[in-house]
Amino acid sequence: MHISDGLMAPVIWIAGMAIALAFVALAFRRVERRLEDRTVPYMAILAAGIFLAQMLNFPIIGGTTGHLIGAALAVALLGPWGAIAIIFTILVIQSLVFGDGGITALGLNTLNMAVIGSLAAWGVIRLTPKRYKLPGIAVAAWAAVFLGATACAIELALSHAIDPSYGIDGIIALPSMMGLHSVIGIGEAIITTSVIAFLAKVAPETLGMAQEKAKGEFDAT
Amino acid sequence: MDTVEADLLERIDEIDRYADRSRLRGYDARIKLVCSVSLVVVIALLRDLEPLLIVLAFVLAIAALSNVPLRHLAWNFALALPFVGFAALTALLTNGADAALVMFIRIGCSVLVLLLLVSTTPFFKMMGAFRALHMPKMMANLIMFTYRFIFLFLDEMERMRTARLARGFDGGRNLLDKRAFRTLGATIGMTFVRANARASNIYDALLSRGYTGDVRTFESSRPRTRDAVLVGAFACVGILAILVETGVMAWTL
Repeated sequence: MHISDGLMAPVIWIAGMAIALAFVALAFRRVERRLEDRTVPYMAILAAGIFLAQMLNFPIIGGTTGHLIGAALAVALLGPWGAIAIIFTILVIQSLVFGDGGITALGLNTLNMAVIGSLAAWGVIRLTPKRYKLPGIAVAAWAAVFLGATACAIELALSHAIDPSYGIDGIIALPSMMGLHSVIGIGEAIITTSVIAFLAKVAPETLGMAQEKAKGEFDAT
Repeated sequence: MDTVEADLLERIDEIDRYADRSRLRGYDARIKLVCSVSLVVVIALLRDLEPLLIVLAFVLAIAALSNVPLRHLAWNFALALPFVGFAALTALLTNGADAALVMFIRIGCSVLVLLLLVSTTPFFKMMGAFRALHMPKMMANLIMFTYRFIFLFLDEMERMRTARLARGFDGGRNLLDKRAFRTLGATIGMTFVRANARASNIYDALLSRGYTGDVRTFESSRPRTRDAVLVGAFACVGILAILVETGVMAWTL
């Protein structure tokens, strides 16, 4: 789902950049306001962990694989603003250190995966009753991937509609992106849920620490 | 699965390998960053074949000058191919061959510019450039910590991978493979557990050495003449491409 440079119409990526940067600035300000001694290294550890987790491919069917995005995982551990900040950090490193995902497309990638992904996951987690916490996280992870991919498909279709030399025709983009990611989302849901279940069992102090940092934004235990 | 993972680990390891050998290494990182980003922005605005060919020729020339091994560039470019290919293929189906070619060259050029920037600039110089260009301190620190921790965990992940293989894990077959997902979930979970323990240790070590959140390096670089040449070359190509694109300057092949 990492969009490269040159794919989207200029109007689309400029608008995406503006919206994404506004959210990122807000997220960093929110995180900074609650800045404690160990917030930055703790967030960086999570970002590094999610960065590496993104490299683990899981099998879908017949040789195709998908990989984790981690927005829901970050939301469950850090709350929505922290999640936006660290997914953005991961995207910057991927783009400017590994050349994965474009610079002009950084705004759209941030919007799809960091902003829409995190807010969708956060919404679902907030709406889930406490006793269904794990199923709630599963649905949140699926929704984050599916809505992010849908946003990406809409951007591709809009680009194509504005100027046929950009983007991908909506007739192709929408069903292929949404179809594929409704399946990838299941993998994301299973992995996110098993990571949270694993942490609750093996290292509840990790969740406790996150809870302390997130202060009431999401009750992790 | 495990071969893919191993390939990616190797790729991370490779990231700064050519940076110190490249002929572009000595150029000011801030200048390289600004030039590359500006050129990518120009490329993203181009819709005709001719200006794109001008930029492509320039980028290939820089690639040849840079001394970065072709194999390295080709391998990293191949990783971007599925996306480039998919976009070009749909353009071929919906808008014909010309549109597909334009799409392919436009995305390919941008990927190449970024790859060149990344392969010729060591990470910490890039961070210095970010700070010099006024990236907020917290954001820069977060990126720097994240990058450092990635390498720490690579070791751990490699050990866990060996352990998984030793126990007969084969990567699983499909989405319904329950055991495969339990193993992957536990692996990721364990990464966080180890991460958490290490974060405290590392941070304590930093604090005991007087870390205050500021990162200083010995280097204080000043743009030199050759940096001006680089800016000039990028600016000429960018402006030429835009002039040809807008039709101010006629271009005949």
